[in-house]
Amino acid sequence: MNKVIPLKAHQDAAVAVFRDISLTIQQRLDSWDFAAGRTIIDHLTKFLRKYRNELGDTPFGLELTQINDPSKPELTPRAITRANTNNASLISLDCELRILKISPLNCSMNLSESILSAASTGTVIAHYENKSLVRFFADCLTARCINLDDPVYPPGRIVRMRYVANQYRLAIRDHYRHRVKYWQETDHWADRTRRRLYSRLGSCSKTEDIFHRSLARWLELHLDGDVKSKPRDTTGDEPDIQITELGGRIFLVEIKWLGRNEKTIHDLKWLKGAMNQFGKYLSKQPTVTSATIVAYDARSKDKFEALNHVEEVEDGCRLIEECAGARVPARGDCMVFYLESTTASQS
Amino acid sequence: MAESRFTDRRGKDVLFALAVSSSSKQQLGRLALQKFIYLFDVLALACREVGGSKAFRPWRNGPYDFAIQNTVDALAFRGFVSISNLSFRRTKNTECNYTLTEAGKTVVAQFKKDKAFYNDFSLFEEIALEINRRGWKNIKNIVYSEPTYRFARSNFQGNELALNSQDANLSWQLLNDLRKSFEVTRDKPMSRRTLVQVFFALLDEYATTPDSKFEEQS
Repeated sequence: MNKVIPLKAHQDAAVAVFRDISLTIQQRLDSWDFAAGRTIIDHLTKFLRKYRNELGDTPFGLELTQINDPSKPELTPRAITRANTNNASLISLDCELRILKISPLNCSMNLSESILSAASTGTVIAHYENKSLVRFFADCLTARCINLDDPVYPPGRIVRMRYVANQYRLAIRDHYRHRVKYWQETDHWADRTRRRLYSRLGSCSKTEDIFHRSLARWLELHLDGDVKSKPRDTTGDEPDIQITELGGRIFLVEIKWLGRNEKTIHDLKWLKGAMNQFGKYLSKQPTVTSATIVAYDARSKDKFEALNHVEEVEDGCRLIEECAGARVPARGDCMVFYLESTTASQS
Repeated sequence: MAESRFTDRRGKDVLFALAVSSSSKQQLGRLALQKFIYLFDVLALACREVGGSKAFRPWRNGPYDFAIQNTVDALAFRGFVSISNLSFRRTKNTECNYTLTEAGKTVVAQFKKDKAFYNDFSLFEEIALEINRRGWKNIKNIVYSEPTYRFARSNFQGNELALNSQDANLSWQLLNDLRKSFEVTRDKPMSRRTLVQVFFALLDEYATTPDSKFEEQS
């Protein structure tokens, strides 16, 4: 019998289900019912769209549960603003958007992603960021975002830079150009003139985290795949970022940095060690399709240009296969990005 | 001989379909019964690794398996199924509703004691739950959105729908991709409940596409 393949419209429908927020939540939380969760998220989206002009751009968090308690009061925009008047609070809701309880978050009024992400341990939290965006956290990880301007489309201006999952390298390069190269978002320089990176910044306790968080968020928004960032409580072998394509192909990203931060120095020997470690990890993971080491280079321009590279894919980005005698594994590659420390006009 | 074997196996499917639908306070007619069992056959390959029947054909009023009608007639004759609201439209079109009699319910209770049969019964229950969410009157649209049947219709194929084959069961292909992707970052497999819900969500998504609207018009 000849194998037939589904119609394009059905394949698109499968991709839509794969990207469904409720399914991503179910993937992370067994207790979450996928179908009932779709209805809850649908109701919440309609509620937020209806009242977003009243709610404005002030962020708040809502915990979503699948309990049904008709005795509780309904969620209203007034209840949200009242609960967040003095301190940021988390409002727990039942499946019909009734208020179960209000618990304070210990963060004064600066409600950040990391606080809500941490609060989502074992549960689901919707983070209303502004009139146009609501982000869902499930068990400490971002599940997905909804564009409140039009939920059919992904949030914001991201559409023009959207890639399928296996083109994640292009998305990494976009991220470098738009967020890292001139420290546009990452704000990684502790001392630009001496080319010294921060050893910690805000809630990022390591230099890697500064790049990792920004890149993970970028990939979540720009790839048609499931992007999972390193769970906060695991150590050791866990890759920094795991991207899963519809159909199950897996891609890994490992983030490193070179140069000097406020405490230590990472030179090529350190990158060599990272490559060897990555090779061992890949040999234990036969199901990984490909893996990429992304190294942000804070060393001097001379040292970056002296790298033995196979290709300079764009200004400030080099692909290397070998480093101080260590080779990139067969299923892997290594992209080194030069961190500019002067603006285009200064240079 | 072959027909008798199909009829025997369909006995279990018909009894389970009628038992589950009556728990949803739903009486099934001839075509709704065909469609309900069709959905079971589609999902059987994904849910229990053993495919359903390949006796369904894309008929004028949806997928149709003659063995099901023969079985339900035989079960009615033997007193396991009762027929109500019987009416005739023209000479060949018969309309009626089927429900289980007390004897039929006893047989179902006996069947459910067998583990494999109980698994099938609970799959019927999961499917009924999802049809309930969407309304039983929409079962026709649900089945018409199903990839294997939709493909056969759009390609004017009147051959049997080989729902037991991984190559021909298009729903299985899509669900398998979704399941593999879902399970990558988990140590547990996707539960059957989620799998059935995902299948119905897929049909819902398909129903919003221009492709499905075109099909409705044609």
